[in-house]
Formats: sequence, structure tokens, C-alpha cells
Amino acid sequence: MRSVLAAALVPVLLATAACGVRPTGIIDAGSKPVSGYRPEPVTIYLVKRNRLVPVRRPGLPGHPFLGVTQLGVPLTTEERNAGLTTAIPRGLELRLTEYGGVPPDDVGETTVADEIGSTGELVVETSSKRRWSRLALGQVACTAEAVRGVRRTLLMTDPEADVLARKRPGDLRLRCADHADLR
Amino acid sequence: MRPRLPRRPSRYWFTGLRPRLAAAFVAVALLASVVASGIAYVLVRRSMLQRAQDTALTEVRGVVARTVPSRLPPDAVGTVSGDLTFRLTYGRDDRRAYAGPLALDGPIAVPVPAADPGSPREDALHVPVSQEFARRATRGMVFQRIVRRGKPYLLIGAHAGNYVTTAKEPQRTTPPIVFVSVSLESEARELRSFTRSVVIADAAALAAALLLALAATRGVLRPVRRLGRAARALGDGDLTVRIPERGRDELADLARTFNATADALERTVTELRAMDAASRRFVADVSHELRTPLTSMLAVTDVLTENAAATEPGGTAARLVAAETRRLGILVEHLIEISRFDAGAAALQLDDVLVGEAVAGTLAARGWTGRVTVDGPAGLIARIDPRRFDVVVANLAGNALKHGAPPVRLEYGPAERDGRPGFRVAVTDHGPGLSEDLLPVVFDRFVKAEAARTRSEGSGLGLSIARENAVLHGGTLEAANAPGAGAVFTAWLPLGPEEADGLDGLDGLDGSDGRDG
Repeated sequence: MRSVLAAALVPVLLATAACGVRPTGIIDAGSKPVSGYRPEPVTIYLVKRNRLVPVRRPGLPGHPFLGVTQLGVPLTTEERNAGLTTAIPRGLELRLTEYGGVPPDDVGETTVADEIGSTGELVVETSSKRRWSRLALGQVACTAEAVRGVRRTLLMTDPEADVLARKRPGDLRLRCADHADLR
Repeated sequence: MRPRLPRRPSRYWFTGLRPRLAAAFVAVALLASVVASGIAYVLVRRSMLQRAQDTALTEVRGVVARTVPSRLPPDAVGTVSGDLTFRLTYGRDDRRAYAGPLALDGPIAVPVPAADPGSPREDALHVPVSQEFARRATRGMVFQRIVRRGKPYLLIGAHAGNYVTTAKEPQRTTPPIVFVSVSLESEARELRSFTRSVVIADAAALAAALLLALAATRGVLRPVRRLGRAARALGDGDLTVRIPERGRDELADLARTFNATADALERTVTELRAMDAASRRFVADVSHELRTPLTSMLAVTDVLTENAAATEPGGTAARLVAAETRRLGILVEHLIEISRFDAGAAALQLDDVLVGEAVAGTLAARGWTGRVTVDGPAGLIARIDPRRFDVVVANLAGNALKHGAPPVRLEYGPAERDGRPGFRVAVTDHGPGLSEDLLPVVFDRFVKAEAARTRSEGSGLGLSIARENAVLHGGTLEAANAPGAGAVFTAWLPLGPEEADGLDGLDGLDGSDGRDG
């Protein structure tokens, strides 16, 4: 009888000992995830011999205005080797905002723009107060207008001050057509 | 006396068949249910975790494949990482994701885990990521189940494959490495509730098994108990007991065997009893047939003795014939007497008797008055059959005088036995006593003290008849050797018949202080 009890107890103990979710070692779950598509490339305007030159870079899905922010990163080695330069001040970060037709004076809170509003105006913010060369402004304007739906660009060089003081000394309204002489 | 059969203990609580069978039943049920539910548990857990893991892995794989293109713009890792973490965790409270740049050489930067993985406000992963895990995640999708602070988590590592980087600056266009931790708490909760259900079901199965076991053992053991009762009744002498032979199992077979045995036993015992009765009847018939011619012979031999007394040799022969004939007559009388006992025809003719007077009368009638010392209370009265009491006393006294040596002493007096008032008569002689092998059989028929002397005077039935007489009164007759003396024969008789012993006994005890002799 004692052995019968023992035989009955062993699985009970085993069952209770192995209850719940047990930890495992590292388990392989197949190959790396592979993307099967190439997103639309973006066009950015760089400078070659003081002229604006369109250059293509790979795009990212869901980021139509990637080209404008790409203006802020250093050139790739291949672009430099091709004699391309940029007039955008170094160490500059470009942020995109969209206010959907609301006058810039009332912009209190900015959001990252993923699509262009009905006004067709792209707002580019930057914290740099350094002088922007005409070439650099042309780069921003033409790169922005290379995106479908963008008709003009508002560059806010001092967005914080603008909002608080309700004055917009740093606002620059840009059009690529204004820089046609540089192309 | 038949040896007393052992009583059945009222219950075998721990060693009986019933608890053992029930325990075996329950153990089997427990084993079966535990094994079955254990297997079910393992299967359910495996499929549940498999489903959770597959879902999470498929989603991570899909999100990474959708979010990371085969070719990245330079320095866009931060943007892609933001997209990845947003899409991997969007609408999923149980998931936290990390995506970060992958160092092409040196240790891979791994995220710092949340201090409290259970807090819903934390954005960091539930569990830490080991360097080994990160290294293997760069070669293919990997996952690991980790228990942190008692809660299970699934950690998934992935890195987009088949991407193109620029030759000179691969670091700027390498896609980020992705880690996702998924809380498995809902699965653990489901498993716990499943365990609870299984335990409840097992307990119910056990209870059912116990009930079934009790019912089954009851069915099995009922015939066993019936058989035990029947065997006990058979042992107690009830030869007609039988048990029903139902069913076609081993127990029914046992019942059939028992019944057949009881049949055979009853037949044999009946035959033996019939033979015994026939032989007793034969003895009685022979004795009766012998009595009539013997009576005539006694009369004739008496005449012969008187006639032959003149001549010496003839007188001796005639006396011898007369003595032997008389002995034959006594033997026949004894045989008739004992066959009456055997036939159950002996009856008591009760009368109030003064024991002292009855003893004195018996001795006087045999001419032994001077040879036996009598001691006892004069006023002792008993309600007994005087003729049979006379037989008892005469046998004891005659036996002592014949086989023992003087002085012979007869004592009587009141004696209570088993709470019943009575009196005893003890006859002591100063002979050699009874030998050890004779003691247990001295009251058997035709047992004689001097076995070699077949021609001794006694019939060999005297003590048997005396004992039958004592037993008929409800008394006893016992033989023993007294220390320093010869044989002691003690008869004990109740003062009256059993239904009226109380008052008669008190009368008899009145004279116990007056002694004579």
C-alpha cells in the first residue's frame, strides 16, 4: 500500500514542480526578417560649383518629407567624392511642423509633420540663428518643393522667441522659384 | 467440549480487505487522473505558449520587414528606431520594444531593463538583454522565455536582413537591432485557472473513485462476510447452514465448495450418529435380552451353591459360578443404566434430602458404616434424586474401599460454584492414588485401575454411571490426587434444580455450623 501511495505521489509532485511558464534558453526562430520592397527615393538639393543639384537618397516609408531632414546630416562619402557640398550650416537640426492653415502667430504646439496641410506650406524649424546663405535657403526651398503637394516653405529660425514675443523676425518664406537662378 | 471459535473483530480498519481495495482503487484513479491531466496540462501549455510566441514572432517579423527597407538613407537609424518602437508597441500594453543602432564591432549596445517590470508606466523592456542574446539576434530571429520577479516574459530579438550599406560608411546605413519583450502574464493566468480546473476535476474523480471503490468492495465483501457467518455457524454445529450460490465468479465457486463441504459433513455426521445410535441400541437390546436368562441363572446358581455346599470342591466351583453370574448380572444392569443415559431416557425424581442421612443410609446399606469416616454438617438439605445420589456415593465409597487403602474419609459440605449454591461430596483414600495416565480417562467406560486384571470385580462402568448421574443433576464429578494421601473423588451437585436454586440453597446452608463425625 505504501508503494502504491508513493507511485501516486511521484506524478503529483512532478506535476506541481513543473507548473506555470518555465524559462527557456535562447531559441532560434528562423532567419532575419527581410523587407521585400524599396520605398520611393527622396530628392535633395546639394551644391556643386555654387549651383543647386538634385541628388537621390533612399527614402523611408511613411516619411515623405525625409529629404528636408536629410539636408541636416553630413554628406555621404560617395557624394563628397562626386564633388558635392552643402551650404546648410553644420550641426544643424531641422524639424518639420505643420499647422494646417492656422496663422503662424497662433502656433503654440508643434507636431512632427507626416503630411502636408491644405495650404501646401511646409514649416521647417531650426534652432540656429546663424546667417543662412542664399544657397542654403535655395536647398531647403527646392528640396521641400520636390515633395509632392508642397508649394512653399516657412523657415522659422527662432521658433521659441517667435511664440513668446509674438514677433517673427526669423521667419523666412521661401519658394524654389525664387532661387531659379541658382539651378 | 468443542473449542470456542475466534470471534470476528468488528472492523478491520486498516488491514481489512475493504480499506485496502478502496486504497488501491483510489490510488489507481489518482494515478490515472494525474497522468491524464498532467499530459493535458503539458499539451495545453505547449500549444498556448506556442501560439503566444508564434503570434509575437510573426508580428515582430512583419513590423521589422515593413518598417526597415532594404536600403537606408544615412543617419536615419533614429527615425527608423522610433518607427519600429511605435509600431511594435502600438495598442499593445503587454509589449515593450527597443530599437537601437547596431555596433558593427565591439559589444552590442543593449537596453537597460525597467527597474520594475510590472509597472505600466515603464517604457523600458521588462527583462534585461544578455550580450549572447544580442549577438545571436544579429544572425537571425531569436526568442527566450525569461522569468523575472516570478513573472514570465518572452524576449524577442530581431535585426533586418538582406540590406545594402554603403561601402565606406556602413555604420550610417545599418538598420537598428530590435528587442521586444512580451508579458506572458495572461498565459500564466490562463494556465493557473486551467490548473485549478484540473485539480477540481481530479478531486471530483477521486471522490467518485472512492465511492465506486466502496460500492464495489461492498459487493465483493458481502459474499465473504456471508461465507464467514456460515462457516462460523457450521463450526458451532449447525450442519444445515447453506449459502446462496449467486453469480459466476470465484466467490460463487467458493460458496459452491462450501455448500458441497457442508453437505458431505452433514451426511457423514448423520451417518456416524445413526451408526452410534444403532450400536447403543444394540447394546441396550443385548442387555435387555441377557437380563431375563441371567435372572433365571442367578436363581439356579443359588440353589446349586446350597446343594453343593456339602462337598468342598463342588462348593467352590458352584460359588465361583454364582459369583461370576452375579457379576454378569451387575454388568448387565450397568449396561442398561448407561444405555438409558445414552438414549436420554434418564430422568430425575427430585426430593428434599438431608445429605448426611442419605450418605449414612448408603454406607449402612452396603455395610461400610465403620470403614468410612464421614464429616459434614448435619442439617444440609438438597433437592436431589435420592436413588441417583445413592449411586454416586456408593460408587465413590466402594471405589475407595476397593482400590484405595484405608482410612477412607468422606467429607460433604455446602460449596458455591459459578455463583450457584451447591454442595460437594469428597471421598479420600490413602492408597497409591491414580497414575498420571489414568487421571484423564478414569471416568471413561471400561477403564479399570488394574488393566491387567480383567477379572476384577468392578464392571468398569461404575464411575461412568456416577458421573452421568452427577451431570444429570447439573453437577460434576472430578478425580484428583490429594497431596500426602491417595485419590480424591469430588462430586459437586447443586442444591436444587436451576430454576428454583435460590430459596432451597438458603435452607441447606442453615446447618453448616453443626458438625458431626
